Amino acid sequence: MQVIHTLIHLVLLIAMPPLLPGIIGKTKALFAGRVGPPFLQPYYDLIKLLQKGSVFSTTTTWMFLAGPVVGLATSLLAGLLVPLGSHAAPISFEGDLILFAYLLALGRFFTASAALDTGSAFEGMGAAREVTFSCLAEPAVFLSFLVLAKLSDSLSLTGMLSGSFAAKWAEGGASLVLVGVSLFIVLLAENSRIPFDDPNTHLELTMIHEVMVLDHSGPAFGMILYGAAMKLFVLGAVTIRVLLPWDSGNAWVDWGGVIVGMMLVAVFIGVMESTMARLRLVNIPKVLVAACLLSALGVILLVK
Amino acid sequence: MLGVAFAIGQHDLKRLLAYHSVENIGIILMGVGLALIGRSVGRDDWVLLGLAGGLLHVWNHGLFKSLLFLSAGSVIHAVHTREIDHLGGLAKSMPWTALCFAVGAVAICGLPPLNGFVSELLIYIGLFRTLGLGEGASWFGAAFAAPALALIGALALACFVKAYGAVFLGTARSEPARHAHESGPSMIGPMGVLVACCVFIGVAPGLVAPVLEHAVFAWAPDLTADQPRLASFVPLGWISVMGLGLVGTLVLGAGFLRWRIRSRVVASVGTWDCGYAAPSPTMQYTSSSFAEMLVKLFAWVLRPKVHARQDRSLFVHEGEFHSHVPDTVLDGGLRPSFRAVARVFSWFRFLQQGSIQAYLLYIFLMLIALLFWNGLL
Repeated sequence: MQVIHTLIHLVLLIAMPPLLPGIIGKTKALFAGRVGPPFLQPYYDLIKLLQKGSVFSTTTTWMFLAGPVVGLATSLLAGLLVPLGSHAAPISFEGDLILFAYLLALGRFFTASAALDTGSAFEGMGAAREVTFSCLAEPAVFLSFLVLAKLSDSLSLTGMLSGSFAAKWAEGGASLVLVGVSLFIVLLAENSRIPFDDPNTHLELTMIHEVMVLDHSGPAFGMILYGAAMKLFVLGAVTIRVLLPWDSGNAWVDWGGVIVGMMLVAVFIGVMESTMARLRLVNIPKVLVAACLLSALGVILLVK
Repeated sequence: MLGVAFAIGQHDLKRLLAYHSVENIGIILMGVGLALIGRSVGRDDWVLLGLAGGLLHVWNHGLFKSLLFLSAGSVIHAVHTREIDHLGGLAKSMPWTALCFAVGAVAICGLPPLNGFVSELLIYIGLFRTLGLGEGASWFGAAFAAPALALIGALALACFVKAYGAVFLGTARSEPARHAHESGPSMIGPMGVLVACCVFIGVAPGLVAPVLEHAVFAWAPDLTADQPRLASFVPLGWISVMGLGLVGTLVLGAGFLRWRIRSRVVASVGTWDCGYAAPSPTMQYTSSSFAEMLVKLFAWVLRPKVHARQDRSLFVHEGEFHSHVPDTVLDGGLRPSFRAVARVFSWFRFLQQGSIQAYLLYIFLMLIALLFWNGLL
């Protein structure tokens, strides 16, 4: 039975991520009164990109290609540590939450370095913003993990997130709500969504993630898109589990719940992106500090 | 934390590395502090994790910091400047040095699968274990150290992306950097050994654990009775598995990408420049621009200085812009106070005549004064 659940986890982790940007795009199109690209558009894009040729800048080195590879590999391994719904993750051990956070950081190191590899000012700006904002997002993540670890007496993501949430809500419901909001803000920042970054903007000066990958093309760009979608999926799985922690008791229904939950995250992001504008860059640190404070408040509420 | 904040503002490659020592010693002390708290409350696991993490970080710091300084030395040997903003593009001319610096940078940021991750993981798990205490305020302070460590890690990452990017990536910003050449095997060799050590501790921490346990037991003899094992608190085996898994996935991904690129048309052109006709290396994002947002966040302590002569006339004239981050402790605290002390002492210069007779007179006067002093008492 465990083997089947692990297999389902792997299939979802590998197959589902590109669907999320598709759902976000469709939701935004709905709000704008357009038909929008089909749900499966990101899959078509990936297949198309994998078959294309590449253009490399003459200034680049091996680091330029290491960015996409490391970005995808770290998202994938981080995905193996995260439990989906009430099901345990395929790999789980004491302290894996630290590995989870540091794997994503490793991906960031190489993505930002790959951006600097082109020697373009735009990509330098994107990399600078990415690492700056993550400096503020990282403490928020760890404060949230503190709350979850305290409530569950466990140091693994599976122990913290799968299993029953009923007792945890009774003990620290308010903290969990704060942590959920904080994690959602981090999710938006880490995946470069509005209000932190507009993935559809046309001006290089205002971008964060998109501008870092300006010079990537073909299969390497495909890997970047896939890795980014997978990161959205992985962080979404953590967030939705904190915000919607209900289990049906039936393992199969729970898998359905996971899929619906992830779609809900995507729809919600789409609604947010349709109804608000991107913040000015100078205001972004304030939002992230607010996320840190929310989870810090969550920790304080647990002190009795 | 402030150590790394200062490092971000630095333009001097060696100074930047030196500031990171402040940060790393902070991490080491975090581990030692945890061990001390553990000793006073009688928690064996805190003592073991904190002290083992701290000690391992001492080793690791010795390894990756030497590696980084050696690579920096190799760069300075090749281009004769330590100014980060004058370098750039060295990964092409010095590929081995670039690779060694990259490994050192990943290790110092505490990222898997290298050694920095293992020691930080020990300290993190120790800090998170303080949560289990339940009540009282002692877990509270220790618990907030974990997010602080996370912030330090993220800042170190920003700093080393900046350093690596500005020194090794992009195109050369000055003439010497353009003509840089790789250092000889006598300089690369030792770096290779250090790289191997970093990878070894990172991938096989289980082999280092017995040595660490031995060291901890020497400090805390009361632990020896029940012999707690490091492996029972920290998943050392899993670290190895995940480290190898990461390397394996990377190799697979790289192979896949290589295959896809090989089988298609590949064009090589200049970096996308928005159609601008004459891009030059000076237009690259410099390390100071890269750090600007973070330096601003820490402006309350870094106090960056900006000298700009802006051009407000109708036509373009020459403008200039300088910015630098002075060392607040050294330039703002120590140097002025030592200068003040030196000024006070210079008032007594006239006493220093340089003639033996004068000094004999001083000694004689002092002797008489002391005799009187003695007599008065």
